[in-house]
Amino acid sequence: MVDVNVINPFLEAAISTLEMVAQIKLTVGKPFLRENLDFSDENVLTIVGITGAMKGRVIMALPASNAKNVASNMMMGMPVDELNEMALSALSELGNMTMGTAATIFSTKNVLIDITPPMIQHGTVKMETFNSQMICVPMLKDGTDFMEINIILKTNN
Amino acid sequence: MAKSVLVVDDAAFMRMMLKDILTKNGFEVVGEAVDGGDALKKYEALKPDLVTLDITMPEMDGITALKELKKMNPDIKAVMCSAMGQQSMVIEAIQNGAKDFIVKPFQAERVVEALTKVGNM
Ligand SMILES: [Mg+2]
Repeated sequence: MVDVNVINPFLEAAISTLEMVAQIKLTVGKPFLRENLDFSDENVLTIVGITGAMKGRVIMALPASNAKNVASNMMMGMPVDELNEMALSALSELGNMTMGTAATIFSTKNVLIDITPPMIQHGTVKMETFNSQMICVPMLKDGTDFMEINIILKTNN
Repeated sequence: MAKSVLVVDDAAFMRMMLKDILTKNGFEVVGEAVDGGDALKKYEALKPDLVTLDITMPEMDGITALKELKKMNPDIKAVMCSAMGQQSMVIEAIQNGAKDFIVKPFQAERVVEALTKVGNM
């Protein structure tokens, strides 16, 4: 069951953060449920854990070419031909800023959460969620898939 | 004389950005630390005029580091620089002695304004 009130702050945060740090305007695609991640193409996944009033994790997934584009914009247009340590650090900080912004939005609704330092996975990735529900929200740039926000929330209330 | 700054953030990217902004605006970045524990060691060794402190970091977070730094120097000039912009977090940081709180993502001018103001306190 997808509760819009629960996922909206993450989407709002992603839109404002991408626009501010990378000058990329995203729109929200059609959310769907999935049980695992399976990227056969090179992707960059930024994983941030959520603790406090809500528990779970958010996995931002960017195909390599889009990840390079974002990292380059974040570094004032410095060319990013390969996803080196600095580019991956920029993308992990993108995850931190997005989730920090989401935490701030949640706090205005009296939901206090904390976030973990981001983890990065880079390459072809398979991931099982094991009995938790994952909501995938495609984020679009100019109407085309640009990145995904995968949200896993534990429902133990 | 240029104010010396210790930049504390677990993300190499963010340390690079802050260093770039500060260096271009007349500050001298004398050191970088990757978490709270590293910050304590480098603060002790470098005795910088100013410290920028991230909050979400592995090992020791920025609020815990702030409390420890405050014990080392009750007059410490620390500015938080974090994505965790909740009002409760800002209040906690200020109550523990932070002189200002910059919310990420930031504009370069905001960083310069905050460190200039705190540097002149
Ligand atoms: Mg951090």
